[in-house]
Amino acid sequence: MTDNQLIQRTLHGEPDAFGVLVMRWERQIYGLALRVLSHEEDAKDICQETFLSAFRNLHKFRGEAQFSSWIYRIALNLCNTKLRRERSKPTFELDEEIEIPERWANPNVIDSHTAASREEVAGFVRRALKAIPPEMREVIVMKEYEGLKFEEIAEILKVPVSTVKTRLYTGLGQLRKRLEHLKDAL
Amino acid sequence: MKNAGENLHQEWREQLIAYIYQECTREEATRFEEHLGLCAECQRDVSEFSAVRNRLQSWQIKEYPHVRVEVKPSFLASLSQATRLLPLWGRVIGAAAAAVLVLAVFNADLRLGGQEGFRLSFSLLPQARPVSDVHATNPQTGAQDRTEILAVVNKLIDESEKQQARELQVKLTELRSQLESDHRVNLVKFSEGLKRDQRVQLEQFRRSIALAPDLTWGNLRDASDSQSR
Repeated sequence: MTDNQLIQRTLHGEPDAFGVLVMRWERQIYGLALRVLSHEEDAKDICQETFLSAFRNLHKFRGEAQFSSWIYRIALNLCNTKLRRERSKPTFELDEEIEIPERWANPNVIDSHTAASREEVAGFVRRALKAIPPEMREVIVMKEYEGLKFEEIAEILKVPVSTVKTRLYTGLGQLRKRLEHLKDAL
Repeated sequence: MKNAGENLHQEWREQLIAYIYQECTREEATRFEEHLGLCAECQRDVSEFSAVRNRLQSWQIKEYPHVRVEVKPSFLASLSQATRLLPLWGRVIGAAAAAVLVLAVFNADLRLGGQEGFRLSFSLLPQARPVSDVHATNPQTGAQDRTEILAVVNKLIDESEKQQARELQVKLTELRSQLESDHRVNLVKFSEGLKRDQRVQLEQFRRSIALAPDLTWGNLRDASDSQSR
């Protein structure tokens, strides 16, 4: 059954049909929220709020765009609201400086025993992603982890495709700088 | 000239991104590869961006929580669904009942005719209509009605009083007959008791006479005298 058919059933009073939509898209939405926010609990909350908001506003869904684009947009809007609130709070983490383990400072000492594990690299990637501006981060997340096409990302963000490509280029450039020390790690 | 150069470079950047993500046509890819052979900066970007992309893939989510979303249809949605199940006449009756309920809740007051013409008013608080307002348009009719109402009330009071008097009379009669009956029973009992005593005394007297053969009127008188002394 397609997303649109499930939407129609939900609108005709079958909440179970919406449950199928949730099961179909919860992993993608959680993944997007986690990688944009870099916080598990916040990602869970955003995921839940996304589906609740989608349910409440389902009658507004025109069906012109794909349901996935629509729900990604809701999730990203909620993420951005969350990030704006976080930014307005006073924080002591003024800079997302990445601490480099001493053993990696000298590339000569890296061998099979000291090389970074995949989990360690994942931790650095996570922090590096969190450090770049949100508009670049969300494009990279949608492209790299959700595997969306440029057109789909442009549709979700309501920006031209060229803007998506530019953000990707700039974002990858910033990540390159932040992950430079991992050049020999994997 | 500088702007033209920047624009050209910007175009190659977009082509680069399309190339590394393989979202370009065969012709675009060929054209970019030709450029790549001549541009060291793009060569470096392609190489390093590929490395960055590899590292990004190291962050994989191991566990996905199940998102619990409880959706309940709203009151209106439930009502709408229930309404759809009803036949047309059922919906009409339901709508009429709902309208009457709403009018009752808001104390709707509908008036037709009179000096005010048509008037429809609502109020959340029930408003007691003053007596003077009932017949404000015709005072004579009001006075006549009041007299009639007073007459009816007085009549009702009279009937009530008469009824009470009748009931009291019945109770008194019953009480009296009860008392008389009790009195008769007591008299009969007393009379019977008295007769029994007299018979016993008479019998004793007869026996005493029978036991005294020499009794004469003179002895009897002496005995009576001595007894009285």
